[in-house]
Amino acid sequence: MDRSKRWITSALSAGWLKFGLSLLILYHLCAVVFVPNGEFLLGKWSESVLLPYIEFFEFSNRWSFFAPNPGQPMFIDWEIAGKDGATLESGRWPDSHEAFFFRERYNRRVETVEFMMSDDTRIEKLMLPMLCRRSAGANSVRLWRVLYDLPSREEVAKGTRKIGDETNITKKLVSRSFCEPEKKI
Amino acid sequence: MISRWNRFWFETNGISQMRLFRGLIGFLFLVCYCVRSIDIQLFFGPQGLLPPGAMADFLPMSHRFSVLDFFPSALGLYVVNGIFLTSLLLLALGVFPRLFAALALILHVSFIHRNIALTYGVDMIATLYLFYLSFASTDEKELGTPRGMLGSVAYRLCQIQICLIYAYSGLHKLQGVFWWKGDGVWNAVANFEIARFDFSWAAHFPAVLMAMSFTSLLWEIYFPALVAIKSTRYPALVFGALFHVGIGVAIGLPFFAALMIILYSLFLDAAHTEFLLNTSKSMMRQVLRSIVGNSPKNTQVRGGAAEEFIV
Repeated sequence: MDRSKRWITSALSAGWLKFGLSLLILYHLCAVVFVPNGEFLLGKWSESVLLPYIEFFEFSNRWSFFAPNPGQPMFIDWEIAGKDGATLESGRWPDSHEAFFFRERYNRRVETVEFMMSDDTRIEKLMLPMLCRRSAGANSVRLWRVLYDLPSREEVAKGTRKIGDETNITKKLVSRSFCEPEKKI
Repeated sequence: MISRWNRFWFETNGISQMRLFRGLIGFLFLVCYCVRSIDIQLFFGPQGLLPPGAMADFLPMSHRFSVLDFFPSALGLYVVNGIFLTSLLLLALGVFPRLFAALALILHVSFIHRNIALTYGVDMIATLYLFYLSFASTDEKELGTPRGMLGSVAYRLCQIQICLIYAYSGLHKLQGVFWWKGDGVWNAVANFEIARFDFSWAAHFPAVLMAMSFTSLLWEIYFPALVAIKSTRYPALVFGALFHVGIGVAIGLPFFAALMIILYSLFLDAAHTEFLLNTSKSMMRQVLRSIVGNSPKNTQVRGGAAEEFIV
């Protein structure tokens, strides 16, 4: 115990500990400074050195809150059908936020939609297993991506459009898939 | 140059700031992740949104890990979550804070790597600050020792991190046409999916919306400079607190708003931090007294233990 204490003290006085820590600080700073700027050339060069560290601790955020532009309202519409093709249940993800006492629960559901919207296969992989288990007798599920176009400030001020109106919605079918076996039609 | 570097990184006394920060952020994370626990089976369970092992379809997993892979059952999930919440509580109370910050970090990253789809700002910031708290020093006795030196590094990294978050957030906004036009705030509040109220009335005040958009931009980009200069530090922090309360109420992001305000404790003077610590301690003592009863013996014993924990 005394020996290790003496070693640490001598290392400290020699400055080696500070030198070692300084290197680690620089390494960490490179990770947290370069990662949010994916276009930075130096960041691309250092990717192979930094990537294991970044991915291990998941320091991969770009800190782009409401950037480059605030997002549009986006949802996943779903419909569960039985063997005869009749609709058993339909709905929207995320559910109405009024149902949640803790807003946090709704916010996380909104995040899942943002994650899924970047790729249709993500929508299927996340929603399909859950929806197939939802209704007894579920045979197939249809999924749509729904995007609302935000009204401009001028349109709302003039009264030609309202916040949340359904005049400019893009609704696109993502897939119709069987529950068991989960295969696409 | 070298002495300045050493002074900045290794000889800063941020003990009281880190102590206050650790307590506040520990309790905030505890509440935040208690709320997440309500949906734990939906978000992380074997019958939930994402089947175990499916993360590999979305992200390269060669450098990523999840403790939850070893406990795929519903019961295992509850146990891991219980350990996670307990470690956050103990971190907040100051019981072996470095150890429990490290444990909380490992489990927190495990949850992220089990299902990254539902992570948002609070989770990403939590990762970094749990990491820094894993080697932070909150004990005066450690000053001048290697542990104290590590604590100084942790304190400085905590401060730099918040500056990076703001600066990048502001700079990324400059890439967007709406922020340049001054419509950024309008587009945020007009998104009925996230806004808490109907802000249609705001459309009649374009100058106010534009001023708010550009003020947000300037404040975020220049936050590092504003907190580095002593005379602008407190006004910038007060503005920031009001800014985040506004976002918290209008957009419905209470935990994110609270988290950002708690991060400001890292920029407070030691005297102000001590005042806040003493106030919170006496408040805790009063609460404990009212719970335990007014017996002088009980009060003294329980109050003393609580005081130790809070410190």
